Amino acid sequence: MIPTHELLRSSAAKRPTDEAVVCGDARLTYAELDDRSEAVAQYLVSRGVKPGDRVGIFSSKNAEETIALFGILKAGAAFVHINPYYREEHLRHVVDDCGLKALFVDGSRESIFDSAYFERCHVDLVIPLAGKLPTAGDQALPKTAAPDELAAIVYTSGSTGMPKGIMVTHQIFHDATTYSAAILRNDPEDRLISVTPLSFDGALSQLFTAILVGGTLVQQPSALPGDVVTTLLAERVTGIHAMPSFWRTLLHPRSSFPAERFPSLRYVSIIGEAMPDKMLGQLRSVLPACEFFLMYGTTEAFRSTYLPPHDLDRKKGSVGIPFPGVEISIVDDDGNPVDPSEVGTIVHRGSFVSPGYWNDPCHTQSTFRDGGLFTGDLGRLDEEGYLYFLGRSDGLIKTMGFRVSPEEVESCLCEMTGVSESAVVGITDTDGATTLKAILVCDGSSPPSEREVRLHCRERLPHYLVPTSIEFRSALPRTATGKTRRAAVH
Amino acid sequence: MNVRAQVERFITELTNADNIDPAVNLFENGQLTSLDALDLVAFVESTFEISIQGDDITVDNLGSIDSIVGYVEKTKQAAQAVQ
Repeated sequence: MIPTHELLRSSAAKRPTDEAVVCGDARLTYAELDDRSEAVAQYLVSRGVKPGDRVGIFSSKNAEETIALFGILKAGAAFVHINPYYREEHLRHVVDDCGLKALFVDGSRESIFDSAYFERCHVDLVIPLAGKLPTAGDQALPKTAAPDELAAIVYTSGSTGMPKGIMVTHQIFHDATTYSAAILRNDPEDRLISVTPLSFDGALSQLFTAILVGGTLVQQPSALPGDVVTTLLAERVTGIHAMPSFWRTLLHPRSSFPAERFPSLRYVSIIGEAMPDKMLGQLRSVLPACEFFLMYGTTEAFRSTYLPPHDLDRKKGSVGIPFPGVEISIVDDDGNPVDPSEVGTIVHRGSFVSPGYWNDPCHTQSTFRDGGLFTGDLGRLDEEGYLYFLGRSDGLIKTMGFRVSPEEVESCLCEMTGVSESAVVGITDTDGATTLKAILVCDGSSPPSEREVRLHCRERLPHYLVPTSIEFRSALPRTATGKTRRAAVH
Repeated sequence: MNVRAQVERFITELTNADNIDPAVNLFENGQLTSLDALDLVAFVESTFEISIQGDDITVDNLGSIDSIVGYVEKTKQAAQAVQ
């Protein structure tokens, strides 16, 4: 097992002048990324960062955040890339939950950071992520990292409350990167566009794949169609890994993407939520020479399955077969395997399984058991072992590729004066797009207006948690135990 | 109503936020998503009677209140020059 930052060192030795990471005019060669991350590591060590510590990055997409990320790993610490869309409350939750030793903050996120910590932040070291990062030479860096050492904590919505930290080891990053690169046949000529923040496992997998094979990662901060098309052409992008919501914008009639030709583009991989058939067909007609890989995975186990491109028409709607080293089974509520084609919970065993949730032994025990990850996703396997993903079993909603816990939005809604109860559900339209709907029960004294509800949510929640539609009702349907029956409130 | 006032009113409705800094990139800070951009395009076209080419749907043109106002004024002037 070679840790990811060692992969950077080895690619830098082989191809020092090749581009490693680009973002607009900012271009980092392998030698620059390696040298500058080495300097960041020495600075962190000089300031007391030790193996096992957690160091955060709160940044929009740019080249510098990759320098910080590799610097943290080289210092022996684990990185925590905080979702750049987080508002104050989520930011504070992550910073407190994982006890950051240091935090890199990019200029675009400074105002959120400042208002989250109008009182002094207890993180010892807050480092502006801009221009020249601080250095301190001649510090001895840890030799290497053990396979089971913590490399990162990736925060994602859980079935209850605030985001949970999923622990990722060096072994998991190594395995996921090598197997992905083998399946996607990545090579040094590859230029992979990265449209999702590095707080998501898919974006990390893409960064590390580029570094492993000696290719280039093209950081793309804007998802507006005009900007994406310009970058795809100017940077001669060869691979895209994105969620269906990204494709929905690019395929919009007003976008220039469908009329354009992309001769460099070799493959597209899609993960994150179900890709509607119609949209996939449209995308295939725009990119007739491209290979399409549909994938399924959860952050708790990185990558589970992929559909080989030659099966795309034969296995419509399937997310494919397990990655090497992975075993997928479908179980009933008691944990017993179901018959082929029967629906049940998807269980992932073998490679890529996280050691658990940070700071949360209770949820770790219920999700990671009997040597497997109980994903909370519903699915079925056909006679040939191809997996079909059928949604969540635990009430989580997938919208715009984000995993949303209804409770997280409901607790924010119930903070409002005048709101006594709330329920949040996902509404899926005919194009397959899911949006959030909030149903509110008010106590009659001073019910808020629809606009006030949205404003309240916008101020406190990341954009994908803000309900798109709001409805007022006099009561919510309940189960016998008094829980809201979400299935009955649509 | 002038261009700036109309743009400000629309963005306020779209984001449901008050006191928006006209220079701030609304996509970068998560107040708007790329799907909102398409509503924004429809609004700009119908309100100011200009036609936006797909290549022009960029953060430089539509990312902030200032950039939208600048884009509308520039596009209208160019259209008048042609006439």
